This record gives sequence, C-alpha cells and structure tokens, in this order.
Amino acid sequence: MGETIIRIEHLCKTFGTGDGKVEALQDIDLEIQKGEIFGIIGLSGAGKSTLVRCINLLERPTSGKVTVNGQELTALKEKDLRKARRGMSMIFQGFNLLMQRTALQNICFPLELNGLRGEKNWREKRAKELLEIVGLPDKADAYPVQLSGGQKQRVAIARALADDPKVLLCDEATSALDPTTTQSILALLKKINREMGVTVVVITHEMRVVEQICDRVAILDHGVIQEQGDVSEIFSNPKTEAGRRLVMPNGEKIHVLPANRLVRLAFNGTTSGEPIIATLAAQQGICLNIISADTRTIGDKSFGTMVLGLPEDETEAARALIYLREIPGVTAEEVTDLVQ
Amino acid sequence: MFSEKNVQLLSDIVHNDLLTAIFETIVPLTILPTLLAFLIGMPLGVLLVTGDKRGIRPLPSPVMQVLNIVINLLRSVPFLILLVVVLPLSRFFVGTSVGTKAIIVPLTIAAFPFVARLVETSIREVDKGVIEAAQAMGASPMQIVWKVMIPEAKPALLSNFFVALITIFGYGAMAGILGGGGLGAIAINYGYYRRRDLVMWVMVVLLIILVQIFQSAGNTITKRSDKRIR
Repeated sequence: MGETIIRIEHLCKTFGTGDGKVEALQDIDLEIQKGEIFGIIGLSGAGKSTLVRCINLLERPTSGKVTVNGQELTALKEKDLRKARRGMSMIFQGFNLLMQRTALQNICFPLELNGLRGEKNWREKRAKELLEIVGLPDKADAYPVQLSGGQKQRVAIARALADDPKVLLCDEATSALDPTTTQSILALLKKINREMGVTVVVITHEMRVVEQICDRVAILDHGVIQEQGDVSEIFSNPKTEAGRRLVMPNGEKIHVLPANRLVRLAFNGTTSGEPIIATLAAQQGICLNIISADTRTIGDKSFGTMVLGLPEDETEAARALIYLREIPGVTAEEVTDLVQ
Repeated sequence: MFSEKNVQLLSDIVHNDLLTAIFETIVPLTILPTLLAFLIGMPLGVLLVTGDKRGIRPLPSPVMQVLNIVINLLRSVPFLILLVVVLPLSRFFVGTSVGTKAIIVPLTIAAFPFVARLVETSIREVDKGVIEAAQAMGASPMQIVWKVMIPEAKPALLSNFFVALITIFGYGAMAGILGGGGLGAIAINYGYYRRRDLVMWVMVVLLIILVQIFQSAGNTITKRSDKRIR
C-alpha cells in the first residue's frame, strides 16, 4: 500500500492516579495508510473512543507519539495543534451539531473558524455544494431539531468535509441510527473515501460496519490491540480470543459435544458457491456432520467458519481432512478447544 | 381607606409624580443596573465555566477559588445591608450618594454576582459534545466562547436575563427606603410612613403589573429565540 498518513507509536493513556488509576490504552502501535478506510472495533469500554481522541489530541496521550500528515502532533504547541486539527475532521455518535444554527450555518462553521477562507458568500456557496454531496440540497435552512438522525449525520458529514480534510475520524457515527439509515451513511462515507480520497478511520462496536466499508481493521480489547490486518483475513480466521469473541459473538457454542473429532473450516472468500460438503459425500461417500456454521458476505465474497464432525472411521476421517485441506481458499484445522 | 383625603392625595400623585416614578422604576432602577450587572457578571460567569479544571481554558485553582468566594460572599449579604454599606461609594462612581442615580451603584454591586451564577449555569448547559466538535475543528478558546457557548446558550441567557431583571426590579423598589425614587419610594413614603394605605396599594398593584409585563415579554422573546423548539 501507499504512504502512511497516521502513525501511532507506543501510545499509552492513563486516567486518574493512585487507586483510581485506569490504563485506558496500553502501548498502541498503528499505521493507517493514505486513502484507506481503517476500522477500529471493540466492545464498549475497550478504549476505542479514547484512541480516536488521541489521534486529534482531544485527549492528550500519557506517552507515545502521534504523527498525522507527517506532523508529529504530540510535539506541537496548542496553537499549532489547532491549525493541524483543521486537516482532519471528526463525526460523532451524537452528531454534535450547533442547535441554534441552520444546516447551512453549521456547515459554514469550520470555515468561519478559519478566518482566511473567504467571505460569507463564498462560504455559503461551498456549504450548498456540500449539502448537494450529502444529498440534502433542500435542507439548507432547516434547524437540527427539524432533521431526522440520518439527516443530522449527513449535515455533520458535510460540516466535516467543509475545510477539505485529509482524514475523517468517525466515532461510532452510525451507532445511534437504524439499520437502513446506517447503510446509507456507510455508503456515503465510502463514496467520500473513493471520490475525494479522504482517509477514513471508523470506530465502532458493530461488525457489520467494518465488513461493509473497511479495508483493514484493528481489534481493540481492554486497551490493547489484539490483532490487525485486512478485514477479510481477520474476519475469516480471527487468531485471538478477543477477535473470536467479536467475529462470533455467540461463540462456537455446541451444547451437545459429539464424541468424534471436529474440524474447523475457515472460508477466505474464494470458494463461495461451491458445494464442498455435498461433493465430498457424492464423490467419496464420506458424510460429514455440520455442527455449526457462521458465514457472511463481505464485499462480493463469502467468509466465515464452519465446524464439522468427522466420521468415526479413522481412515475416512483422514481422507476427509486431506480433501478439505486441498480446497483452495479454505483452511481446515482440527479443533480441540471448543467452548462447552 | 377611600376617604376624600386619601383619594385627593392619590389623584395629586397620579397627576404630578406618577409618570416620572414609572420611568425611574423601569429605566434607572431596573434596566440600567441589569445591563451593568450583565456587563460585569457575564464575563465572570463565562470565566467560571472556561476556567474550571475541566473547562476549555483551565485557570490556576487558587484564582478560581478566590473568584468563587468573592461571588458567594457578595451574594450572602442581605440587600438592605449592602445598600447601606455601598451607598457612600456612589459618590465616587456617580458623584452623589443620594437619590435614584446613587442607588444604581449598590443595585449593580448586589446583582452582578447573582448574574455571574445565572450566566454560569446557562453556559454549563451547552452540550459538551458540541464544544468537543468545535475543538476538533481547531477552534480557539475565544472562538468557542463567542461562536459556540454564548450562541448555543442564548435562550437560557435570555430567560435568565429576565429573571435578573425582575429580581433587580424588586431590589429597586426596596431602595425607596434610602431615598431612591420610583414607585417603591412613593409606596413607602406616602403609604407606609404617612399611613395612606390607598396610595400604597395602588403602587403595589402597579409594581405587580410591571412584573407581569416583564415576565411575559421575557417568555415571548426567549421562546422566539430558541431554535430547538420546532
């Protein structure tokens, strides 16, 4: 991939002192590439929001380095930091629009802060263009109270784009929205990423969000990055306990554990549509027992895992394993660690 | 109460003094000290929020403590006592320590700490998320005060402006005791000292009507300014 736009090195954040001390983030290392959509996923309390606030230094890290756009933010003075923040924008779960301003005036707000960016007419023209981009050309004079949740987030996105940011930080931007609205906001974020080249960092606790728009993902748990990599890789075959808990929230729970050996298949997106189990039965006469399956579509490919019970006959089981391991795009491993 | 003498006196007052008294009650004894109290109290109220240790521009905590103590101290002194103590200072500020003009000084001093607290609570009501959003956009503390806190708190500030106005109006009527003018002075001088009940009650009714007018005007203006109401 291309150049790094956000680099986080050895970042730690501690709240409080003494007995009330909470280590919210521990030794975080992250590199986010220019032009990608990067997801940070974790359960509530994992430290996601603190992490995203450390990127624009709304939260000052206790130690570590944050570099954005080649500028080491952690070394900047307050005044220079404010200038640097104009190169990145943020949207929030609660939208955080100015309630006493119209949609248009909200979008003009960041331009007003940056006094150098022209006159009122120019600002309003720019705001109208942005309303067009986010699909609300007729809402210029509406106050936030007159808008729905999805519309408010669209205005917030337009406001975030007003000052031509290089980076857009999204803090649980869709968590307060219904599924349909979430879809449309995600589509909008993707469009902005592709068409305007804005690097997007998405903080979420929802798998669907990451699946749908992210290129790469980091899993954050108890203030530590457990694993990171391409979304397809992580989601099809999570390597850590925290990863598995997120990807398979119900766990691979099997209530009646069969006596025979088990094998876990991980689909990596290349074999969707091929009837592998039926093929095995038809060609070799070996019948496998499907214990659990959890697959999903990411982009245009299928990912997921499936747990199969191998036949009791040892030679049949060995033949089945060989067959499964030879299928391209599938990893098969015997499991011994299934939870209950 | 409705004796010929009383009615005659009332009619004299209505002809000679009433318009001046109403003007004095409204302008120098109410609006002027309210504006002055906001002039001093507004920046202090903003400072109480921004200078807080979790505020947008924390100040050293001893500074904040002194500020808080001074405000609480001034607020705890009963108005009539403050009036007596501060009135001599009026000579320094307005050149005289008697009459309606002199009362403006103690009224302002009594009201500004109260106004500072009203402004403080109004500004604290502003959504933290909106302030955070402005910070994320690179807004300076000054820009946050002028472009976020005050405009977003405007409905609360307006509503509290009228709370302050009516409180000061009440103080102003009391100041009649120490030589201030207005309806309060007439009520006290004629009605109370000279036992002319009719005059007193008519003045009280006029004061009540004025409060009602202030309050309704305040409600209308506040409601109209608030864009959170559909």
